Amino acid sequence: MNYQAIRAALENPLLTAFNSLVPAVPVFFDNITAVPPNPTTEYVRINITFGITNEPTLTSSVDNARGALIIRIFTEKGRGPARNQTLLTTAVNALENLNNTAKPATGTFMRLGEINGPTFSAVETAPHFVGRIDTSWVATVLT
Amino acid sequence: MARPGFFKGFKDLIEDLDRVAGTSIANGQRAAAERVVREMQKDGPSWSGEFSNSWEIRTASRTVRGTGAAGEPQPIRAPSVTGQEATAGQILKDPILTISNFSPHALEAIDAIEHSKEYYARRLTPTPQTALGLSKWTAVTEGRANSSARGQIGGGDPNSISSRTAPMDWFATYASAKLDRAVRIEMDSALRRRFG
Repeated sequence: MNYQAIRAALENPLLTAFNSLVPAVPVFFDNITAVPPNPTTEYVRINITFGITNEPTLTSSVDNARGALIIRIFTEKGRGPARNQTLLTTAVNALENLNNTAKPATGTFMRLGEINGPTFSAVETAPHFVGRIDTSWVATVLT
Repeated sequence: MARPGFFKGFKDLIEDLDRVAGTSIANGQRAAAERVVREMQKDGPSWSGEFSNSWEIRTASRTVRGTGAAGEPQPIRAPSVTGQEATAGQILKDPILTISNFSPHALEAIDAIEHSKEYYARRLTPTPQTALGLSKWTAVTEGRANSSARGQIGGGDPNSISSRTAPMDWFATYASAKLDRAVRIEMDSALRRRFG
Protein backbone atom coordinates (compact mmCIF):
# COMPACT_ATOMS: atom_id res chain seq x y z
CA MET A 1 0.00 0.00 0.00
CA ASN A 2 1.25 3.46 -0.84
CA TYR A 3 -0.60 6.10 1.15
CA GLN A 4 1.41 8.90 -0.37
CA ALA A 5 0.52 7.86 -3.92
CA ILE A 6 -3.17 7.74 -3.01
CA ARG A 7 -3.02 11.14 -1.38
CA ALA A 8 -1.20 12.58 -4.37
CA ALA A 9 -3.74 11.13 -6.79
CA LEU A 10 -6.50 13.00 -4.97
CA GLU A 11 -4.68 16.20 -4.09
CA ASN A 12 -2.82 17.00 -7.31
CA PRO A 13 -5.82 17.53 -9.63
CA LEU A 14 -7.50 19.74 -7.04
CA LEU A 15 -4.35 21.77 -6.38
CA THR A 16 -3.82 22.25 -10.10
CA ALA A 17 -7.42 23.35 -10.59
CA PHE A 18 -7.32 25.99 -7.85
CA ASN A 19 -3.83 27.17 -8.81
CA SER A 20 -5.05 27.68 -12.38
CA LEU A 21 -7.66 30.20 -11.31
CA VAL A 22 -6.85 33.91 -11.69
CA PRO A 23 -6.05 34.86 -9.03
CA ALA A 24 -5.05 31.45 -7.65
CA VAL A 25 -6.96 30.36 -4.56
CA PRO A 26 -4.81 29.04 -1.70
CA VAL A 27 -5.36 25.39 -0.83
CA PHE A 28 -4.54 23.87 2.55
CA PHE A 29 -4.20 20.14 3.01
CA ASP A 30 -4.03 17.89 6.07
CA ASN A 31 -1.58 18.82 8.81
CA ILE A 32 -1.21 22.36 7.53
CA THR A 33 -3.03 24.36 10.14
CA ALA A 34 -2.12 27.83 8.92
CA VAL A 35 -5.09 29.63 7.42
CA PRO A 36 -5.45 33.25 6.34
CA PRO A 37 -6.53 35.23 9.42
CA ASN A 38 -8.44 37.77 7.38
CA PRO A 39 -12.11 36.84 7.04
CA THR A 40 -12.28 38.36 3.56
CA THR A 41 -9.55 36.06 2.27
CA GLU A 42 -10.96 33.07 0.45
CA TYR A 43 -9.28 29.71 0.65
CA VAL A 44 -9.89 25.99 0.27
CA ARG A 45 -9.26 23.23 2.77
CA ILE A 46 -8.99 19.63 1.63
CA ASN A 47 -8.96 16.73 4.06
CA ILE A 48 -8.36 13.13 3.10
CA THR A 49 -9.12 10.32 5.51
CA PHE A 50 -8.32 6.62 5.27
CA GLY A 51 -10.99 4.25 6.50
CA ILE A 52 -9.84 0.84 5.29
CA THR A 53 -6.35 0.04 4.00
CA ASN A 54 -7.07 -3.25 2.30
CA GLU A 55 -9.99 -5.52 1.63
CA PRO A 56 -10.46 -8.79 -0.22
CA THR A 57 -11.54 -8.28 -3.81
CA LEU A 58 -12.67 -10.51 -6.63
CA THR A 59 -9.16 -10.38 -8.03
CA SER A 60 -6.08 -11.44 -6.12
CA SER A 61 -5.33 -7.84 -5.19
CA VAL A 62 -5.99 -6.75 -1.64
CA ASP A 63 -4.42 -3.33 -2.08
CA ASN A 64 -7.82 -1.73 -2.22
CA ALA A 65 -8.10 1.23 0.14
CA ARG A 66 -11.18 3.26 0.96
CA GLY A 67 -11.68 6.62 2.56
CA ALA A 68 -13.27 10.02 2.35
CA LEU A 69 -12.38 13.28 0.68
CA ILE A 70 -13.79 16.44 2.24
CA ILE A 71 -13.52 19.82 0.55
CA ARG A 72 -14.40 23.05 2.33
CA ILE A 73 -14.52 26.34 0.51
CA PHE A 74 -14.19 29.51 2.61
CA THR A 75 -15.40 32.78 1.13
CA GLU A 76 -16.40 36.17 2.44
CA LYS A 77 -19.46 36.18 4.67
CA GLY A 78 -22.43 38.39 3.86
CA ARG A 79 -21.80 38.54 0.10
CA GLY A 80 -24.10 35.76 -1.11
CA PRO A 81 -23.21 32.23 -2.21
CA ALA A 82 -22.13 32.96 -5.80
CA ARG A 83 -18.37 33.05 -5.31
CA ASN A 84 -18.47 30.00 -3.06
CA GLN A 85 -20.47 28.06 -5.61
CA THR A 86 -18.07 29.05 -8.39
CA LEU A 87 -15.18 27.60 -6.41
CA LEU A 88 -17.21 24.50 -5.57
CA THR A 89 -17.79 24.01 -9.29
CA THR A 90 -14.03 24.10 -9.83
CA ALA A 91 -13.63 21.33 -7.25
CA VAL A 92 -16.47 19.22 -8.65
CA ASN A 93 -15.12 19.53 -12.20
CA ALA A 94 -11.70 18.36 -11.02
CA LEU A 95 -13.29 15.38 -9.23
CA GLU A 96 -15.36 14.44 -12.27
CA ASN A 97 -12.28 14.60 -14.48
CA LEU A 98 -10.48 12.36 -12.02
CA ASN A 99 -13.34 9.88 -12.15
CA ASN A 100 -13.28 9.84 -15.95
CA THR A 101 -9.58 9.06 -16.14
CA ALA A 102 -8.89 5.68 -17.72
CA LYS A 103 -7.38 2.94 -15.60
CA PRO A 104 -3.58 3.16 -15.86
CA ALA A 105 -1.33 0.14 -16.29
CA THR A 106 0.72 1.14 -13.27
CA GLY A 107 0.41 3.57 -10.39
CA THR A 108 -2.82 4.29 -8.54
CA PHE A 109 -6.29 3.70 -9.90
CA MET A 110 -8.75 6.01 -8.19
CA ARG A 111 -12.52 6.05 -8.31
CA LEU A 112 -14.84 8.37 -6.41
CA GLY A 113 -18.33 7.73 -5.13
CA GLU A 114 -21.25 10.11 -5.24
CA ILE A 115 -20.50 13.66 -4.21
CA ASN A 116 -22.53 14.70 -1.16
CA GLY A 117 -23.56 18.32 -0.88
CA PRO A 118 -22.85 21.10 -1.19
CA THR A 119 -23.96 22.21 2.22
CA PHE A 120 -23.45 25.80 3.26
CA SER A 121 -22.99 27.37 6.65
CA ALA A 122 -22.41 30.89 7.88
CA VAL A 123 -22.60 30.54 11.64
CA GLU A 124 -22.49 33.66 13.75
CA THR A 125 -19.31 32.69 15.56
CA ALA A 126 -17.22 31.97 12.45
CA PRO A 127 -15.84 34.60 10.07
CA HIS A 128 -16.41 32.86 6.71
CA PHE A 129 -19.21 31.53 4.56
CA VAL A 130 -18.37 27.85 4.16
CA GLY A 131 -19.41 25.48 1.38
CA ARG A 132 -18.70 21.80 1.90
CA ILE A 133 -18.78 18.70 -0.27
CA ASP A 134 -17.55 15.22 0.48
CA THR A 135 -17.21 11.98 -1.37
CA SER A 136 -15.93 8.47 -0.84
CA TRP A 137 -12.93 7.13 -2.72
CA VAL A 138 -11.60 3.70 -3.54
CA ALA A 139 -7.99 3.40 -4.61
CA THR A 140 -6.13 0.41 -5.99
CA VAL A 141 -2.35 0.57 -6.03
CA LEU A 142 -1.35 -1.29 -9.19
CA THR A 143 2.38 -1.46 -8.63
CA MET B 1 -45.84 -36.13 -15.24
CA ALA B 2 -46.06 -34.12 -12.07
CA ARG B 3 -48.17 -35.58 -9.32
CA PRO B 4 -51.40 -33.84 -8.29
CA GLY B 5 -50.56 -31.42 -5.52
CA PHE B 6 -46.99 -31.01 -6.72
CA PHE B 7 -47.64 -27.50 -7.97
CA LYS B 8 -49.52 -26.57 -4.79
CA GLY B 9 -46.61 -27.88 -2.73
CA PHE B 10 -44.14 -26.04 -4.92
CA LYS B 11 -46.16 -22.82 -4.58
CA ASP B 12 -46.26 -23.25 -0.78
CA LEU B 13 -42.51 -23.82 -0.78
CA ILE B 14 -41.93 -20.64 -2.79
CA GLU B 15 -44.19 -18.70 -0.45
CA ASP B 16 -42.42 -20.13 2.60
CA LEU B 17 -39.03 -19.29 1.13
CA ASP B 18 -40.24 -15.77 0.34
CA ARG B 19 -41.51 -15.32 3.90
CA VAL B 20 -38.36 -16.75 5.48
CA ALA B 21 -36.10 -14.70 3.24
CA GLY B 22 -38.19 -11.59 3.89
CA THR B 23 -37.94 -12.10 7.65
CA SER B 24 -34.21 -12.73 7.41
CA ILE B 25 -33.67 -9.60 5.36
CA ALA B 26 -35.72 -7.50 7.77
CA ASN B 27 -33.80 -8.95 10.74
CA GLY B 28 -30.53 -8.33 8.92
CA GLN B 29 -31.50 -4.73 8.28
CA ARG B 30 -32.37 -4.16 11.92
CA ALA B 31 -29.12 -5.76 13.08
CA ALA B 32 -27.19 -3.68 10.56
CA ALA B 33 -28.82 -0.47 11.82
CA GLU B 34 -27.95 -1.39 15.42
CA ARG B 35 -24.35 -2.18 14.44
CA VAL B 36 -24.02 1.11 12.54
CA VAL B 37 -25.17 3.07 15.59
CA ARG B 38 -22.80 1.10 17.86
CA GLU B 39 -19.87 1.73 15.54
CA MET B 40 -20.68 5.42 15.18
CA GLN B 41 -20.91 5.73 18.96
CA LYS B 42 -17.45 4.18 19.15
CA ASP B 43 -15.91 6.22 16.31
CA GLY B 44 -17.60 9.54 17.09
CA PRO B 45 -16.88 12.14 19.73
CA SER B 46 -17.79 11.45 23.34
CA TRP B 47 -17.12 14.42 25.61
CA SER B 48 -20.21 14.63 27.79
CA GLY B 49 -21.66 11.59 26.03
CA GLU B 50 -24.82 13.45 25.07
CA PHE B 51 -24.16 13.25 21.31
CA SER B 52 -23.43 9.51 21.31
CA ASN B 53 -26.66 8.87 23.24
CA SER B 54 -28.72 10.89 20.77
CA TRP B 55 -28.87 8.46 17.85
CA GLU B 56 -32.25 7.26 16.73
CA ILE B 57 -33.48 4.56 14.33
CA ARG B 58 -36.76 5.17 12.53
CA THR B 59 -39.19 3.18 10.45
CA ALA B 60 -42.25 4.69 8.79
CA SER B 61 -44.31 4.00 11.92
CA ARG B 62 -41.92 3.80 14.87
CA THR B 63 -38.87 5.56 16.27
CA VAL B 64 -36.47 4.24 18.87
CA ARG B 65 -34.33 6.96 20.39
CA GLY B 66 -31.30 7.06 22.64
CA THR B 67 -31.69 8.74 26.00
CA GLY B 68 -30.00 11.95 24.86
CA ALA B 69 -28.38 12.03 28.29
CA ALA B 70 -24.73 12.47 29.21
CA GLY B 71 -22.73 9.37 30.06
CA GLU B 72 -21.26 6.30 28.40
CA PRO B 73 -22.88 5.39 25.08
CA GLN B 74 -25.83 3.04 25.42
CA PRO B 75 -26.79 0.75 22.54
CA ILE B 76 -30.26 1.14 21.04
CA ARG B 77 -32.53 -1.54 19.56
CA ALA B 78 -33.96 -0.99 16.10
CA PRO B 79 -37.75 -0.95 15.87
CA SER B 80 -39.39 -3.93 14.21
CA VAL B 81 -40.35 -3.54 10.59
CA THR B 82 -43.89 -4.45 9.60
CA GLY B 83 -44.53 -6.52 6.50
CA GLN B 84 -46.22 -3.57 4.87
CA GLU B 85 -43.24 -1.31 5.53
CA ALA B 86 -40.81 -3.88 4.17
CA THR B 87 -42.92 -4.36 1.04
CA ALA B 88 -43.40 -0.63 0.52
CA GLY B 89 -39.66 -0.15 0.93
CA GLN B 90 -38.94 -2.74 -1.74
CA ILE B 91 -41.46 -1.36 -4.19
CA LEU B 92 -41.00 2.38 -3.65
CA LYS B 93 -37.27 2.11 -2.92
CA ASP B 94 -37.82 4.17 0.20
CA PRO B 95 -35.47 3.66 3.14
CA ILE B 96 -36.94 1.05 5.50
CA LEU B 97 -34.78 2.15 8.42
CA THR B 98 -33.37 5.64 8.88
CA ILE B 99 -30.62 6.56 11.33
CA SER B 100 -30.23 10.13 12.53
CA ASN B 101 -28.98 12.11 15.50
CA PHE B 102 -31.17 14.54 17.40
CA SER B 103 -28.47 16.26 19.46
CA PRO B 104 -28.60 20.06 19.10
CA HIS B 105 -24.83 19.89 18.52
CA ALA B 106 -24.94 17.14 15.88
CA LEU B 107 -23.65 19.35 13.08
CA GLU B 108 -20.62 20.36 15.14
CA ALA B 109 -20.07 16.75 16.18
CA ILE B 110 -19.85 15.52 12.59
CA ASP B 111 -17.59 18.44 11.61
CA ALA B 112 -20.20 19.89 9.26
CA ILE B 113 -19.93 23.45 10.61
CA GLU B 114 -17.25 25.59 12.18
CA HIS B 115 -17.16 27.92 15.14
CA SER B 116 -14.85 30.42 16.78
CA LYS B 117 -12.35 29.29 19.41
CA GLU B 118 -14.42 31.20 22.00
CA TYR B 119 -17.40 29.00 21.19
CA TYR B 120 -15.47 25.81 22.01
CA ALA B 121 -13.92 27.33 25.13
CA ARG B 122 -17.43 28.11 26.39
CA ARG B 123 -18.78 24.62 25.82
CA LEU B 124 -16.13 22.31 27.14
CA THR B 125 -15.28 20.97 30.54
CA PRO B 126 -11.48 20.58 30.88
CA THR B 127 -11.55 16.85 30.19
CA PRO B 128 -13.96 14.36 28.60
CA GLN B 129 -16.63 13.14 30.98
CA THR B 130 -16.88 9.59 29.65
CA ALA B 131 -14.43 6.69 29.82
CA LEU B 132 -14.83 6.22 26.07
CA GLY B 133 -13.95 9.86 25.45
CA LEU B 134 -10.98 9.71 27.80
CA SER B 135 -9.70 6.57 26.07
CA LYS B 136 -9.36 8.38 22.75
CA TRP B 137 -8.73 11.91 23.94
CA THR B 138 -6.10 13.75 21.91
CA ALA B 139 -4.71 17.07 23.08
CA VAL B 140 -2.13 19.39 21.51
CA THR B 141 -0.22 22.21 23.17
CA GLU B 142 -1.67 24.84 20.88
CA GLY B 143 -5.05 26.51 21.01
CA ARG B 144 -7.59 26.41 18.24
CA ALA B 145 -7.41 28.61 15.16
CA ASN B 146 -9.77 31.59 15.05
CA SER B 147 -12.32 29.44 13.31
CA SER B 148 -12.33 25.66 13.27
CA ALA B 149 -14.42 22.54 13.10
CA ARG B 150 -14.67 20.38 16.21
CA GLY B 151 -12.01 17.93 15.10
CA GLN B 152 -9.53 20.54 13.93
CA ILE B 153 -7.21 21.22 16.84
CA GLY B 154 -4.06 23.36 17.06
CA GLY B 155 -3.14 26.21 14.78
CA GLY B 156 -3.77 28.91 17.37
CA ASP B 157 -2.31 30.31 20.58
CA PRO B 158 0.95 28.44 21.41
CA ASN B 159 0.31 29.04 25.13
CA SER B 160 -3.00 27.23 25.12
CA ILE B 161 -4.20 23.70 24.47
CA SER B 162 -6.93 22.19 22.34
CA SER B 163 -8.27 18.67 22.21
CA ARG B 164 -10.81 16.29 20.75
CA THR B 165 -12.20 12.80 21.31
CA ALA B 166 -12.66 11.82 17.66
CA PRO B 167 -10.57 12.64 14.60
CA MET B 168 -11.60 15.30 12.13
CA ASP B 169 -14.21 14.07 9.62
CA TRP B 170 -14.80 10.77 11.44
CA PHE B 171 -18.39 10.73 10.17
CA ALA B 172 -17.53 11.18 6.48
CA THR B 173 -14.88 8.47 6.89
CA TYR B 174 -17.34 6.07 8.50
CA ALA B 175 -20.00 6.68 5.85
CA SER B 176 -17.48 6.31 3.02
CA ALA B 177 -15.41 3.38 4.14
CA LYS B 178 -17.01 1.42 6.96
CA LEU B 179 -20.77 1.63 6.72
CA ASP B 180 -21.16 -0.82 3.85
CA ARG B 181 -18.98 -3.34 5.68
CA ALA B 182 -21.22 -3.12 8.77
CA VAL B 183 -24.29 -3.76 6.62
CA ARG B 184 -22.61 -6.62 4.76
CA ILE B 185 -21.57 -8.36 7.99
CA GLU B 186 -25.06 -8.26 9.46
CA MET B 187 -26.92 -9.17 6.27
CA ASP B 188 -24.55 -12.11 5.64
CA SER B 189 -24.99 -13.20 9.23
CA ALA B 190 -28.82 -13.03 9.08
CA LEU B 191 -28.99 -15.01 5.85
CA ARG B 192 -26.41 -17.56 7.07
CA ARG B 193 -28.38 -18.14 10.28
CA ARG B 194 -31.43 -18.93 8.18
CA PHE B 195 -29.94 -20.78 5.23
CA GLY B 196 -26.36 -21.63 6.25
